[in-house]
Amino acid sequence: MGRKEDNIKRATEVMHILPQIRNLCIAAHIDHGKTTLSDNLIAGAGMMSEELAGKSRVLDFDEQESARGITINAASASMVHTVDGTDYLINLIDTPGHVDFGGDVTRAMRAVDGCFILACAVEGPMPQTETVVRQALKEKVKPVLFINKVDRLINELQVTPEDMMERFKGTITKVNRLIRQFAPEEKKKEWQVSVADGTVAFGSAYHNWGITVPYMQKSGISFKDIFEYCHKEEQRALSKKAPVHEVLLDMAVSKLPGPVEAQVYRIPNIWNGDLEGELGQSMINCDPKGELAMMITKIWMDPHAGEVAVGRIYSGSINHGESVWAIGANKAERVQQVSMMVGGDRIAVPSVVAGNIAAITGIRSAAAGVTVTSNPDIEPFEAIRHYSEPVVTVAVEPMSMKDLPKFIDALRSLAKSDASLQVTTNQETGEALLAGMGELHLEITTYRIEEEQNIKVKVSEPIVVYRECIQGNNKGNPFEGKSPNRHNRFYVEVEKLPDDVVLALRNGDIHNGKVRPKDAKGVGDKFAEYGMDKDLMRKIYAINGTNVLINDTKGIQALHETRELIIDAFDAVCKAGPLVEEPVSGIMVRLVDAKLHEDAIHRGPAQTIPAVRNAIKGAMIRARPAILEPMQKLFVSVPNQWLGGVTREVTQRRGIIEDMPSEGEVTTVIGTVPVAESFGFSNDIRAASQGRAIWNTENSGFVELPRGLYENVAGGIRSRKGLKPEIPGEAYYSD
Amino acid sequence: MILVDDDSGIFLIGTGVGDPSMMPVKGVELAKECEYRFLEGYTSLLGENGTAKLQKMVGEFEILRRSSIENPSRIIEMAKESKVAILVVGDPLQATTHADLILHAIENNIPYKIVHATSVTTVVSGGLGLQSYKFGRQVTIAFPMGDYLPTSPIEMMCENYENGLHTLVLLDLDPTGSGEVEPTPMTPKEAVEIIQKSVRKLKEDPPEYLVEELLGKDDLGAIIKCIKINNRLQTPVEGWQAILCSNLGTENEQIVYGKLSSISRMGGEGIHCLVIPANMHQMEEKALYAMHNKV
Repeated sequence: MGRKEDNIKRATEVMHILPQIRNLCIAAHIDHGKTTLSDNLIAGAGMMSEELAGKSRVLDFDEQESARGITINAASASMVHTVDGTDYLINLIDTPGHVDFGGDVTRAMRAVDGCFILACAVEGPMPQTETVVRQALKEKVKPVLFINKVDRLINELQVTPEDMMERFKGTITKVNRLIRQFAPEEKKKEWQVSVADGTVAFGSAYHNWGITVPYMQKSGISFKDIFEYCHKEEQRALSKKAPVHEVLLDMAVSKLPGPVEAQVYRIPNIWNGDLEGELGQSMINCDPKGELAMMITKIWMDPHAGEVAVGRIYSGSINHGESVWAIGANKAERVQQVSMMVGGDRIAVPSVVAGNIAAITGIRSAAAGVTVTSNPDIEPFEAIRHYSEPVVTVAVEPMSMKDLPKFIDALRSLAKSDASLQVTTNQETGEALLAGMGELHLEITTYRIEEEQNIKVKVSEPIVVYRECIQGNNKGNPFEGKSPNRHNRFYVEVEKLPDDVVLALRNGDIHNGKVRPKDAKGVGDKFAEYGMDKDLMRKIYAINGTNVLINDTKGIQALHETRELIIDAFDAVCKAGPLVEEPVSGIMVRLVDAKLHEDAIHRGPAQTIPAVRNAIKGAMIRARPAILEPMQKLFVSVPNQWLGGVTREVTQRRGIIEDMPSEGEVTTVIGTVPVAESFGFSNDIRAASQGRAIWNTENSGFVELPRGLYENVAGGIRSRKGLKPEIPGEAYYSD
Repeated sequence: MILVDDDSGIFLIGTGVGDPSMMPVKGVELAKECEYRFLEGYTSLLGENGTAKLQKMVGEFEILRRSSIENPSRIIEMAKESKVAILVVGDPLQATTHADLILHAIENNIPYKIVHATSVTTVVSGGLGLQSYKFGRQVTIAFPMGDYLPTSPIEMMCENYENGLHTLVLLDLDPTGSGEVEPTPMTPKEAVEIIQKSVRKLKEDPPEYLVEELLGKDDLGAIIKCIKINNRLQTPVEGWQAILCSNLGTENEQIVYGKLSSISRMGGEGIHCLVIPANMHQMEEKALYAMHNKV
């Protein structure tokens, strides 16, 4: 039996011994060496050749990922690690560092109990590190810290041992500040990381070595030794003495919680059911004999097996051949295969038990975030909070119409597996609009359709998704919307929501969708926490994106009957506003009065929906509408020699430079640029720096479009959409 | 009313219930004189034969669907220069929203004339042997659309019943809800199913005003209404007495009475309406049973 096969056999045995399981992920900024580290851990555990580790990137099993050198999807791998003669099963989930794939990170966090925060010794924690750590803490995932690329600090930047200590201290302080800020109240202290406790490790994932204080004591290696090994270019020898996988997996086993320990405090955070009930207790105790409760965190397409759903089992076990329900589906489905993941390989096993991560096939109704169970009546897990606001759209269509059914099928799967992707299809023409988090996100999505599904497609130029908002309000001056038969009239006032409410809606702290009458009180009280009028907000009808709809009328007969229609109209306006038919953002719509026809037949959908739609759109025009454009935060590290070219590229694109910290010969340009100006930035920045610049971006919200550009941009969007170039006035919506 | 004696304006003309032979002579004469004739084709249905017959009586006409009546700019422009007839099955202003067309005419200084005709809202009472004094508010059962399922017609039927008043129940003609297609009237079976579905919705998820505990102690009107409606809902829908009127005013006219469960088994051809009788006067009862068959 080869080492890999032996490991698989041991893994399936350890899986049942709950205290010997660790579910982990690595959280890091792009390019800080995350995939290299994952590979070394897997190789060290005997799951791949050591020579390849750091070079082959097993977890990047998407060809696309290897080609681009970045990790796109959170794949998972199980491995066995032995400490003092005891085998531990380490389930490792890899997460993408690129901002365009934030949704995958949030989902991965749901599956794990602990994480390695990976920070580059040279650059320290970056904004993306912070975002990912925040997501981990929100899901009550315990962190430990690994400071990577220490060799570069010693060999390239030639720092003294004292300098090095200072830098480490700086990084540790920053990470601890984050933990204090975002960790759950009761864990803020306990989860602080420190060198002495052995919750901080240093090393070089690329050169395969790492060290912690406990490991120093165990092995007798000192900081001085490390300095010398690095200086003498003998890191290979160092990697024999202190192999990174040994050091880090030791740290995971001793410092990160197992599922039994973690589920006690994680379950109340992610499940709203009765904790004292049978299922609640079974989950809190991670009982493999309890009712099955599994949460799907990822779906991916396997060319042979089709859709594979990966998720964490919190209670019970999932068995080959049994019938289970994906909550929300209308029938039970049969589990065709249960497997553990090892990089690109799925190893079929008869069953996987609570506390582990499993991959299953056959459950077509499963999607990321869905609860899989043997009893369809149980309370599902809290939806994974990830509110994505797409900023770029492309139109995609198959080159050949004969591919149309396959194409529509492929889109369906993509939409299911990627919550940050919005897909709208026209079934007749076969054209699909893909809206995503950035140019790269969409490039990869279309690549997948072409390469994995083998469908040749035509892709349009990327188009920016703008938002519509208002500058003022029309309080006290409601806008009247008439139904086509003019027998029904609705009166609407609009105003802007406060910034912190918009932020809470965007973060998913208040859930989107229709508000059932019996839930309205609770939802209203939630808004009151942000300083809004409680009595007013208890009359809430619906939330769509960052917009809310309130029924502020009194005693109107039969109005409740048109509730669904009023919400339909509100949803339609939120999707396409009055100016340029782009999504609306950050407004409160108040229905203040209505006059209805006596007979239900004359106030049906065909009458009420257009009346309300016009009332909201007219009110927005009256409240002085505005167009918002998406912005990107930009970080470009470039040797000083090419700094001028880089700053020129940024400023030429209506960019604003906010800071330019420099570190020796390298300066980092930090600024914001409108997404509209960011297309092609990649090539231009490469040319301007002869390929020396390292850069990345993250979406940073929306700002009002400069007045000077308003007419031009609005006209451009309207003509692209086949609308009249002039923006309609109030009169257009009052007839 | 502005009388049309010059050479332009809108003539809103009823053709009566059912067969076009029900149309008043005055209406026929005026329609023939008009340069343009339209038949409003979304609140009722004449059928192929009826349409041909009406064309023989008044001359060729074009059928207008909802959007052309609700947004009548074309009609208004024509009516500024010429005489335009809008033919409406039944009475033009009963159970329609065409009062709005008159308002459009007035806003545009266009003369108009209305010719009334028989309407289902009046002929049912006598035709069934019931007294018009004893009818409550009429309702229409609409085809449900997605989550939209109005329950107010049921509430009104219950309230009328408890008040000793009969309810005329008109049935929707357009499952698409658009008013832009040839009407396909609701069948008795569909009507009974929708009534059952609405009652289920009312019972499972009652609006606040139907839950007595949620009402103000002093709001006697609301409390009485609530009690009445809930009281009527105690009787299962299948057992409600009803009268089914099919193809009123035509050669195929058929009127039967019985429980809703029996009525739902009646044939679906043509256009129907229901009456839910309340406690009947002795004379009403006698006339209904003598004139019509039980199913």
